[in-house]
Amino acid sequence: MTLLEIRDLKVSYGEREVVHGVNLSVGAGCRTALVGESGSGKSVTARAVLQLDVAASLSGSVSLKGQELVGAKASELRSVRGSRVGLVFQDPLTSLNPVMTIGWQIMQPLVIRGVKKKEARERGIALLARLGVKDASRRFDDYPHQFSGGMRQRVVIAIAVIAEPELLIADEPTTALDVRVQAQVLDLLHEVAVERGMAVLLITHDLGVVAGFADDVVVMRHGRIVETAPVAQLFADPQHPYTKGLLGAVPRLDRDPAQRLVSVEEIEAVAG
Amino acid sequence: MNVARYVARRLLLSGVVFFGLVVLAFVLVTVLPGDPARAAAGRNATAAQVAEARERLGLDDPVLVQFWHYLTNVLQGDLGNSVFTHRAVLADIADVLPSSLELVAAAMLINIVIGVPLGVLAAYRRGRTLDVMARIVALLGATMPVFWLGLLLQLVLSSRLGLFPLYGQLGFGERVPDITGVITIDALLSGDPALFSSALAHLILPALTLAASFIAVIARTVRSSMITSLDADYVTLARATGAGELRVVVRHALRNALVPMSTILGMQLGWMLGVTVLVESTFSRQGIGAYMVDAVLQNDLYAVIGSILVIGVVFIVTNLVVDLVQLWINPRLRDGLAPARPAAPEAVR
Amino acid sequence: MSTSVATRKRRRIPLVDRIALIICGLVLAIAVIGPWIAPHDPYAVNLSQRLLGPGPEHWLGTDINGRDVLSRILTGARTTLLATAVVLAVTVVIGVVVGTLAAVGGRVVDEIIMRITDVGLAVPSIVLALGFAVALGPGIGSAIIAVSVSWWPGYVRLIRTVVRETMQSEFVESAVALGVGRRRLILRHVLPNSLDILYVQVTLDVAAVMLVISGLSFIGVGAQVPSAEWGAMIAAAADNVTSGWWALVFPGLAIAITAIAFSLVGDWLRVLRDPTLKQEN
Repeated sequence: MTLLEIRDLKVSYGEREVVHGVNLSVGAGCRTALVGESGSGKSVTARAVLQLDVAASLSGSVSLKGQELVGAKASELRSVRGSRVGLVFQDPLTSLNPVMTIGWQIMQPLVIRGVKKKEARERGIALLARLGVKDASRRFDDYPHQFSGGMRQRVVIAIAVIAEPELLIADEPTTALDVRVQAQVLDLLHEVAVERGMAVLLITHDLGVVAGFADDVVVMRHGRIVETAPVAQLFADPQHPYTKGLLGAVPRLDRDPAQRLVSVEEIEAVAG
Repeated sequence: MNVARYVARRLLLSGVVFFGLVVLAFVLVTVLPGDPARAAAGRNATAAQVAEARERLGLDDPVLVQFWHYLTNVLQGDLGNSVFTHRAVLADIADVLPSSLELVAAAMLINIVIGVPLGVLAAYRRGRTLDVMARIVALLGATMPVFWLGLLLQLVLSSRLGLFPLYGQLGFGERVPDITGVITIDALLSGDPALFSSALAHLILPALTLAASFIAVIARTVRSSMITSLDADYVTLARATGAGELRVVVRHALRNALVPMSTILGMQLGWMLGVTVLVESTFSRQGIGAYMVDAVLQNDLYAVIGSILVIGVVFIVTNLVVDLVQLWINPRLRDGLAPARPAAPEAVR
Repeated sequence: MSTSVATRKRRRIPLVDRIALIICGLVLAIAVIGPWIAPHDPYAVNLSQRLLGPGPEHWLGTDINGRDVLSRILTGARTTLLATAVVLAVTVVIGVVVGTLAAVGGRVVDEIIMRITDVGLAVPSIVLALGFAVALGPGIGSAIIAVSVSWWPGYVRLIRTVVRETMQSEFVESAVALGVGRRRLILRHVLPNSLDILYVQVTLDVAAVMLVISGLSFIGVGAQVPSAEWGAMIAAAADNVTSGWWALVFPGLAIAITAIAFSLVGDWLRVLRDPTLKQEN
């Protein structure tokens, strides 16, 4: 069943159109990766779902289980945010409010929906523990600066998923982290998504992280989709020259180490 | 551990500034031209009286000895005597200070109630009409001479429109029991609502006048801090969890503005007490400002310098309190991660 | 094509700032030639002409002593602005010398200077100025000294910050690497690249210093009777607010308009110096 359906989405800032008619769908409980280099419009596309950027004007259709979001009233959008769609950003340093305890921030999505403080706290601590934060109940009242980057990103994920959304939009969730921590956080995200039957739209510039994570891959370039395919098929038999180029830029263990990685210029040259 | 070090450092700094203030006062009293013996003895004193005063004040001692005497006197609350009232300066100031504090408190209330929302709204509607209007209000507040504004308000609102009493702190023939020295509170305690509203009516214009030049600065501080917060990822993420705009602005963004805001408000409190010199006389209010103006015009050296010391001490104490409050509102400070004092915006003076 | 339009747009001065610039120029011109263009003698007491409202003979009316308000404003501009200029000149010199010393003189020197400026910040300038006025006796001269004494800490802090920033820039590092001497480094490399902030700050401060100077005159310790200093004019008019509003309103407007114009120009210069500030302010 389709959860998120994007049809002919165009996004522009003032006169400048940056996304030119994108079609994309995410099935319920599925993990879809939206891949492209910076400036490809992948983030703008994903963020159009929650419409948090007031400067962006949208046309086309974004529907969540049949509910149209483009042109929806502010109150409708607000009821979607958090409870049906969660959001995780790239940089855990800036994603958390420095003057509030992480507990307060985790509880917020529940508190604003009328859940009692005590229950919100219990659920917050349980979730934080599930996300691998040791001593969750003691650390619940600590401040963001008292956590490491990887731990902070777990807190950000906790905030995004505590209200049990059907879809999580993760915008480069591991880019700002240590390579070692990246894999841990992605695995965790995968586990939690599967446990909760939550769909994930993963935005990344790094095809390398997609392989073990996503079911489907959508490749974007210059505000257009160039290829959509199940992950195995995409890796085995990329259709579009740009995708081939991107794959060439991924370091792989099964490749002859003497073979050089493809540079961005070369990708540009091939894709035209 | 960091907290203890921070508090110790703040206390030490306050002590150093206080010491510097006493040095400054001593220089003004002793070293600058003008004869402190004559100032202490009074304008019509005989040569013998002046010589006696010179002896009594130890003005023939070496400067360091004189300073030591001055410092110990100040620490014991002896700021010298007023040649005009013939009383101890500190006692004089103690009599009028409550009235000034009442005025400053009222002005601070107006400052916060107008300035903070103005800054928040200007940041929220950045670049729109409301932001431009806030800038104009701020510009006018910062550039209008305080003393002129007071007179204008008197002219238009009191004299022409009769909306407020022209001057004084109570109507003709009205009296309050002297309990706290703060007229509005005493009027409230007296249980007479008419008296209380009269005291309030007399307070509004001078408080508004005093607040006017400060609103601009606090609004600007709040605006720039709010802009930083509102653009931050954590505010976008708060919206992404479905929080309403009011909640986003007040609970998520404004809470961050509290840190620079409290620093500025603390400084403003001390400065407001100083700016009463331009307000109290105009409205015929009692207070340290009016006392100082009278003292300056009568060449009452010790009264003027004593007032400077008191105003300086109020500034030092409020800022110490603010520094301690910072510990509570700025968690990063507790772990020594934040600068102890955010840079004051250049427009604060 | 489009770039040239953009460049032209950027070079064009916004209307508000252009008006402010013109007003600043006018005020400065009046400070120079004011006494010669005044239609009446600003000091001539004429009790038969007292408190006349604005009219064809006296455009801005007359004061309690029958003196022409317009002539007094035109003449008084010189006193107010000259005093302001002297204060700013003195404080800038102190600020550059002491501020640079604090920035490059090592920890101890820095700490001592900063604590002294802390004392200066603890007392509002108008109050500190009153202290100096009473110690030195009333008069515009002591007002100038008084305000200068209370104003320099701000410049010391500003220069200290800017010089420190410049010391860390790359061209200073390369000058050090080339073996430029310390004195020469500071005088020839650091200072010339630090001080452009001054014209911004001085313009912004014209308003504030002018307000303190006229405030002192208003209290009675600055310019003395019968000077046409703007603050003193307001003080003189304060006693008959109800019978002659013009004698109160126009000198105040002169102060306010001058202050607004210089503030606007200061803000404009600041954005010009650092375009990234446009968003912030």
